[in-house]
Amino acid sequence: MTPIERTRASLLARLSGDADRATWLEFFDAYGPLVHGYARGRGLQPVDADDVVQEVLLSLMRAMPGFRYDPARGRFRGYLRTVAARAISARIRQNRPAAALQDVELADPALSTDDDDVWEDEWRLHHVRRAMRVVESEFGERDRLAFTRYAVNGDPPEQTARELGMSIDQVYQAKSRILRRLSTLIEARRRGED
Amino acid sequence: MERTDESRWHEDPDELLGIVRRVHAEGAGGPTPEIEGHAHLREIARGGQSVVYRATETESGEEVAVKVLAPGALGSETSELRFEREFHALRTLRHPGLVGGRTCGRTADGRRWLTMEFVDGPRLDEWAAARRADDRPPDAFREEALAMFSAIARAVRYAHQHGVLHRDLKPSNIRIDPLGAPRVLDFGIAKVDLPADDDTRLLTVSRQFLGTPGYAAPEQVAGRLDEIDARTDVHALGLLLYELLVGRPPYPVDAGLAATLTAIESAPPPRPSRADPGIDADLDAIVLCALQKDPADRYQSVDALLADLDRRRDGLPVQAHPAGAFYELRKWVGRNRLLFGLAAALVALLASFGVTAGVLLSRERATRAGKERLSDYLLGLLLSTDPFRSSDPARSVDALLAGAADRLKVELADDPIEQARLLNVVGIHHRTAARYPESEEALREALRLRRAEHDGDHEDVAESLTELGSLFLFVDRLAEAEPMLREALAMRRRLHGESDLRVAENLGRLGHLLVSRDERTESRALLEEALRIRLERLGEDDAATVASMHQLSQLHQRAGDLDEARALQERALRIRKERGMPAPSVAAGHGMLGRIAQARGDLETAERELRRARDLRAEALGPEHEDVAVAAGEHAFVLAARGETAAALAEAEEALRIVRRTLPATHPHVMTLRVDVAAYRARLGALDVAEEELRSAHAETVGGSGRLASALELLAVARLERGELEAAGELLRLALGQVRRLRDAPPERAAGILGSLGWIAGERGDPETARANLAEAVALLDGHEDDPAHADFLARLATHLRALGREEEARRAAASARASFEAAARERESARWSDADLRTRARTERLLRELEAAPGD
Repeated sequence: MTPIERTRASLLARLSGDADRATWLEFFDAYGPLVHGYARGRGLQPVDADDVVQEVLLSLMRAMPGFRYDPARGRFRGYLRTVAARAISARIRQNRPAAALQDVELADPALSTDDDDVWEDEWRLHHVRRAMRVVESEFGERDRLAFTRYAVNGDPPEQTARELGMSIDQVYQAKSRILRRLSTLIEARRRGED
Repeated sequence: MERTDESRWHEDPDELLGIVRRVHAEGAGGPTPEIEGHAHLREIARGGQSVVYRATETESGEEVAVKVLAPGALGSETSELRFEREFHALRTLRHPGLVGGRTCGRTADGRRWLTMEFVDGPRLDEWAAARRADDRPPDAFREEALAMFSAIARAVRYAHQHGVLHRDLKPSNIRIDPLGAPRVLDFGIAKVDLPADDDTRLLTVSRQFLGTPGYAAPEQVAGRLDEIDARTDVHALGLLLYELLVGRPPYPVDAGLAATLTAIESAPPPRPSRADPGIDADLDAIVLCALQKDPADRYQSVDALLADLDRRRDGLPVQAHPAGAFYELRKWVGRNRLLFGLAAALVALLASFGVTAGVLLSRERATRAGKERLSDYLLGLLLSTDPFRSSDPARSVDALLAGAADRLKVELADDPIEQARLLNVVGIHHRTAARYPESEEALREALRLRRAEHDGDHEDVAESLTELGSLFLFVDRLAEAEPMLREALAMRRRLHGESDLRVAENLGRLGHLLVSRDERTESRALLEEALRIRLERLGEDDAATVASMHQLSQLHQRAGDLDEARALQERALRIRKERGMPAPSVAAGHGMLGRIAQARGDLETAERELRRARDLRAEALGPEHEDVAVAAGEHAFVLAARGETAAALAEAEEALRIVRRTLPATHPHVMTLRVDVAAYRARLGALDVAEEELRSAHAETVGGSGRLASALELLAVARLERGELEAAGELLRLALGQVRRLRDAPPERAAGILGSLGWIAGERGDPETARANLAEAVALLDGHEDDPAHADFLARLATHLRALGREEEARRAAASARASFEAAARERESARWSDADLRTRARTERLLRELEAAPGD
């Protein structure tokens, strides 16, 4: 390779990957609870949070066609957050007309860190929610109940086993199988995302 | 790709289970629970720890509220027991102002539930808003609100007298029933929600406030749960009273959880009369007394609060006495010096400043102590806007400063020491706000005053030297910065010894300067020394220590020790996150990790980290801040490296616009962005515009710029693609000039450009120039015989030598080329050879055979 070719190769354009487009309905279903939770985490009431979900949807649609919905890319996640954060701030301002003290708009240096946590938190909840929905269709009711009572609620395994007519071992297995399945499901979704 | 442990949360069963529990608690997708003995459940409210339904009690037919607790809300078995015990205690409370519990139980899947009487009426704040809106004189509403408040307080007092605290009083927990009487809900439940023996209680407390953070008491915010007692409810009542009177809570509740909690912990409670001048001084005093930060300063019981309200109503002097505003302020500034950085504190300060500065000046004019206090006060105020900061508070402080600083200059004309101190602060503030000329003026004047005042070594002089030197460092006037920083370092060493934190500060700044100059050995020694002092004096968890780690990591990154750089930076970032350090500081960590990833060629990680750095900065500093622009420029660069040139251009152009407003055209930040924008334009085909910009950048740079060299090379490639050989050659010569001015560019860099120049000369039929270029390129690659480029250059050199009739030299060059190809072949697998390299190799063999076949002389 000549030096020129060498230089060029390193500068060669890589076109952005091909995105699989999803319907907006899917978006709503998938990300509505996430945006809602984020808005609630930022201190909005449920009704206002619902509005924020609507507004986020609308502004994403307005951004079409320049915007490509591509859940498999981390950039979407950042974009979604930006749009959501904007809608939430707008809603907060709307709810609280500036009064004397609040005329002085100040950003807390810690605010964004905090906000990050809210967002990261909601993002995890979002993943678990989706994975749990899959698990609900994949596992039998007894396993799910055992998981809920023993793993989620922290009931003693003996009691759980007795009341559900299972062996203690089956209770343990229900927990580890469901947890493993959740982890796999989340990993699969995340892999495309980051 | 490397991942941090944090990103593997879903593989940690405990972490995952924690989130599953929360999802479970929100009942996402799940059906409404079955509650024994109840029908027609409709969800009416949802919180972090529970969901509340309205339901009908089957037996009585009465409407009740059913609260279903989240699994895990009670924590351990012990708290389960306590829940039962407290619930039954609650049932014994009988007061018209209280909504007590009725029954409790467990759902089929094991969640705890309890039921309460259902109150059909507005929340307290809704009621107040409606009553206030009625067309009535404000005084009438005030008295009605006070009557309502007293009724609430009496209900709380009754519960206290029976040993039950509420701990979560807030407007949504108080309903006004159809008869107009207040009913307090959720009594005692908050208490069982928070097991006192739980180590994560601070977290639990914060979590709990996620929905309505504004109504906690300072001791709750600080996690001092052992201090929670009746006076905690007194504080909450104070907040309710303030909000009833004024129409909104005393602390900003929309500035984010952290700001709100900080305000609760440290902002002085504002007097209600500031928001509503109709409120009398006694009411002010009563509210302020209830809102004192220290429980010991509050009313000691709800009864005492009620008694004072009665005294005020009856025109008797109240027990709560407003301390003098000046006294309060001083006390508060003294206590909260360390918390000054927090916005909520600043809000309160700004609000009180207009009045207070005047008061201070007139009362304390004559005394040195007073002036010192005032400077301290301003110092705290202004330093609170340093270093990582939003542009918003900076602007607010500016407005404040414009008036205050002028007045103080007059007041302090006879006192150069104080004046210098103030000017120093003003200078630092201007520097933070990127107003460099104003900053320089103030800092220079401060230094002049201080030098005149102190002969020889003095901390004031050292401080001024440090700050002015740092200013020059920031604006890249390194020649002026260096002597000042060196003098300051030497002076502080003499004054304070080798291991002083101020010495560490100077070591850090000087080290930073030397890093910018690529003087690595000395800067490494300085930075390691600074880190050592800080680790020793401050420990690992301090922002200054982290700053030292960051600088050292930057040095390693520049030196190419990427593993070391990354390890140190990851450590620093972890501490930043764990300690909740400000977003721009976290951003700096992500930025550095991005640059390190970029240096490793991991563009995915680089893009992600740099984007995060940019977004964090934008959120904390506002989109127009210089630091955001610089971060955006770096992100754009990675986008371009990934081939997203148009996006890169847009982002870099915007960034350039921002940095140009505050920085000179030759500042490295501006220069980098100018070059990048030109390079992206070139990639998009606007060669002439790009060339013009790059040529002027080339003319203006003093030192060499690797970035500029790359851009010139890139433009040359684009010219070559259009067959413009001569123009390409010219650009490559400029690039070579830049590379040669670089302090320690690797020799391959210049060799590559020379090789290209040789190729161009060959194409243009100029074998002599081609030979000279290639010979120089080969010489530069001495010791890199296994580099295919080395072989390639030698092969071409041989061809040109032969064309020039220098057959013996040509033979030697071709033989070296063969040896070099063989060395390269040993180093790399054949799969990694390019077609072009393979062709060149074959051509070399052919050439060599021809030369060997020819008769020697």
